[in-house]
Amino acid sequence: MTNAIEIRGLRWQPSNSFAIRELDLTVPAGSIYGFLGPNGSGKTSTIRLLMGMAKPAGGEITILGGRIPADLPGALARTGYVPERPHVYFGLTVAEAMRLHGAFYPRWDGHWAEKMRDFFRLDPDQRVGKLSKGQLGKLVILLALAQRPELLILDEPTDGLDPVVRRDVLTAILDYVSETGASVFISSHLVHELERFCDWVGILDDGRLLAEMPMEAFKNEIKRVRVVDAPADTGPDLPFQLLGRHPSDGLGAGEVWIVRGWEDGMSTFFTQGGAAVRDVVHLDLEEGFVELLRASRPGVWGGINGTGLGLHKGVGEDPHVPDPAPAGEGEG
Amino acid sequence: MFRQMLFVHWKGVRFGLIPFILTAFGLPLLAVQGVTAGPGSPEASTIQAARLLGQMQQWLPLFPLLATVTGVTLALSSWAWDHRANHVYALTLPVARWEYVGMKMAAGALLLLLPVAAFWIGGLLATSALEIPEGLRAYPTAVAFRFLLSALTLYALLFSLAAGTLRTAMWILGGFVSLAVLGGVLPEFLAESFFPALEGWSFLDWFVDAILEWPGPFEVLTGSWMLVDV
Amino acid sequence: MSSLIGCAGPAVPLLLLSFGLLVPFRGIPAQEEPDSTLTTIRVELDSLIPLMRAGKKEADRAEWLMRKRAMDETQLPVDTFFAGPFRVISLPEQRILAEEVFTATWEELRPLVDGSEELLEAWTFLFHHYWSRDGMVLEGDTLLRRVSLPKRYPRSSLERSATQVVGNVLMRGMPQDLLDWSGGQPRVESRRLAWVARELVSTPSQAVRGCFHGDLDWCVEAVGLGPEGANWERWYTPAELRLYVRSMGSPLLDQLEVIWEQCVLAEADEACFEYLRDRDPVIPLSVEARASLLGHALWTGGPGALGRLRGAAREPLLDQLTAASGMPPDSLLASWRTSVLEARTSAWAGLVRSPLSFLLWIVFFGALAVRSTRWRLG
Repeated sequence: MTNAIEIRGLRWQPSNSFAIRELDLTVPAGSIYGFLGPNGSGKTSTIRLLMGMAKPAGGEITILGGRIPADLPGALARTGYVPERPHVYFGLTVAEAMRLHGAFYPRWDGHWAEKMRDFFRLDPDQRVGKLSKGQLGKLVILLALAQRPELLILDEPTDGLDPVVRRDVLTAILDYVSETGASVFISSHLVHELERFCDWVGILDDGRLLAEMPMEAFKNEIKRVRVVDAPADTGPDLPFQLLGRHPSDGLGAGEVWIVRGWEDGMSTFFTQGGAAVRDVVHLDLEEGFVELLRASRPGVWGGINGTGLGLHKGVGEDPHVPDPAPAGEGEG
Repeated sequence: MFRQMLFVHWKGVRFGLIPFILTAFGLPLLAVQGVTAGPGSPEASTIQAARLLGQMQQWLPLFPLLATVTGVTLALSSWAWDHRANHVYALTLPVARWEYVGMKMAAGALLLLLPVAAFWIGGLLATSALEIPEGLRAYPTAVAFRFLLSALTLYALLFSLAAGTLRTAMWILGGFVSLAVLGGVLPEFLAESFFPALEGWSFLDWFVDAILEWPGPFEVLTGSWMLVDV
Repeated sequence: MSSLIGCAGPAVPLLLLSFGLLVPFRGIPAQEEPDSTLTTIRVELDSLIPLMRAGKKEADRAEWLMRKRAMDETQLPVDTFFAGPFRVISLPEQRILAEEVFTATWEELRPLVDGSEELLEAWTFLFHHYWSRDGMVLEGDTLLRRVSLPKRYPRSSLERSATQVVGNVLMRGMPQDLLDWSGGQPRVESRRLAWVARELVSTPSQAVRGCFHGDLDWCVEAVGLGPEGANWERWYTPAELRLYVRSMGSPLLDQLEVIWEQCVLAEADEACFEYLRDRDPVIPLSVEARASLLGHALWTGGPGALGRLRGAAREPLLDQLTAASGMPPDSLLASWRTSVLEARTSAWAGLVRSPLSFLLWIVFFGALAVRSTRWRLG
């Protein structure tokens, strides 16, 4: 098994306003895969489909070599899941929730779970419904990890947690991964958080995967190229990978191209066709993320060229929120 | 796994179930209240028989009612925690759906044995406290068995309804109301126009007969609930 | 035909008028001989009864012909069929329902009249489930025994109604004293016998208690057919009489109230007898039980039972029953008592087969829960 998760041609349309269309996604075994996307882009829906909570209209899902939904119970037994909102029964105590959870998972490590509970300082007799948000987040992570999964699927696990709890949770996850070599599929809109430990990244918007590549490649190989008189039809012989393009944002004429694999001298590709390259800017993860979104939805992600600020909650729901990001780092 | 399911089920329904356990225990005792003195003379025996039968007739409707309400309450509370968490926890457990539903249903059925046992013990105590007049017999076990079957049937029906969404439940209810309304109008129209055989046929009558007569699901509710009878 | 109608039409009111006028014209009886005068009047009145019945029969026939004429004139389509000796008329669209209802009713009645069908009057029934568009024409009938109920009534009500009217035919041929005694139509359904069984156990009467214990002499007394006739003291012990008086409630008249209190509160047996002296003794077993005995006699009598019953019309009631059943009184009462006790419904009844259907329903409901909308992938 070389891939922890494989999605091919996934289709699902829960409503008229949203659909997942022909989604292809691969999470290599042993990787930590950051699943990035603005709110409402379909991250949670994709995870629900992965976990067998919804029935896709088409396509194939494979988790740890098992087809979903045919092999769902077997796959779920080897998968730790942390949902967007805590799902544990609120009427149970912490200890009862742990006992219940452990009963369903053959590889549940009760001893390790107790150690984790001590580490997280969770009172075993405390009712789940009485736990604070941070404690609840810790409990859910504890449950997912103590079942000793080969794959962790985490849906915005640190969302809404304070920095201390967030650090504890991420530390626990990373310790587990380094100890077991498990794969992690983690969705988030907090780009900087993922940047620190993910080795693969996939960017989703409006139910479509815009890009999927190793984190290093994303951080080092994504450039923003400002092109004047850009050709409408690029043809098949591009010397670089074009991830997206969109009209310039008012600070200059022409178009902005988001490309991967740019090398010095490639400007000749444009000059031969009568176009000109105004500037080439190296993008970090967050800048690349924003530019990709901007390119995927021209007219929606308008505003000043930049990154970061448009990625907080609410942007996905309200496309009119301005995107006042700082200018990208220039390339020599 | 099942033990944990049972525990969770118990924890979820215990406060709702305890009143039913107490009522199930007390109801048979109340039903024979006032006729517990043993018969002395033959006349007294007959008079006691008459009083017992009369009293049984009065209390009769409460037994199936209690079985129904117990089953319904337990079924509705079975899914309460799952509904609150949008069933996400249940759906992500590594068991097949049928297995999870089966375990949950079985756990509820086992818990239902508590009020049934209470009813049975109450019935046994109530009838053993009586000196049964000649010609009458006590049926605490039979009535408790009927109580069990009735409560379980109602539990199973409501369990399946409550497993769905509120929208599904409304669809089912709406469908039934529509059928009842159509069933009142359509056969008459069809009988006059196309199918004389439908003359006098009533959907509601048919439906009530179908569920209350064997092999309908609620036939068990219609049998004898007399704790003491001939 | 029309002349017949013309003559018979007013026959009924004329007969009734003459019947009503007859008494005054017989003269005022002398005060000193009230009993003999009353007897004379009663005899005279009795002698008029056959005449009145004959007149009513003619009137019935006249009305039938009037109805037929009305239907002929309107060309109203009607369907006619037979259920046993009975003719049933219904509207075509109600024919199937009518036939089902009457056939079921006749099948229920048949065991009681087996071999004596010819003795039943061949009544014609008019079946209306409800007033249809043509109902106004048929509604003019007053002669025909109509089985009609409003539309909202279920079929079971129709069957009960049909059973009642058809049962009336059976009762018409029976001696009046037998009808008075049985208080209703003969019954053989086990459901009703189960109620009789409860009576047998719980009626506060030494006669009923003795019958329950198998003493057939007491059974005769319990149904009010004992050789000594109606008798409070024989049927009830003082304690049971006291219970009976208590159940009647305290009377309004002062004098009776004193006696009532002496009987009920002071437990004075004589007071109880005195209180009940002017009342007809209440037969211990109810009309339901007695009707079941009548039904049992006809049912066990087999072919010709109804004919033998009618043949013994002038005999005492017990002899009428034994004639119908073809058995001596003890055998009849013993077999009736046995059938009553056998009809007792155990609380286990039905519970043996219930678990089978129960299990299927549980599995069915469980499967529905698995297929719920919550479990989209299930």
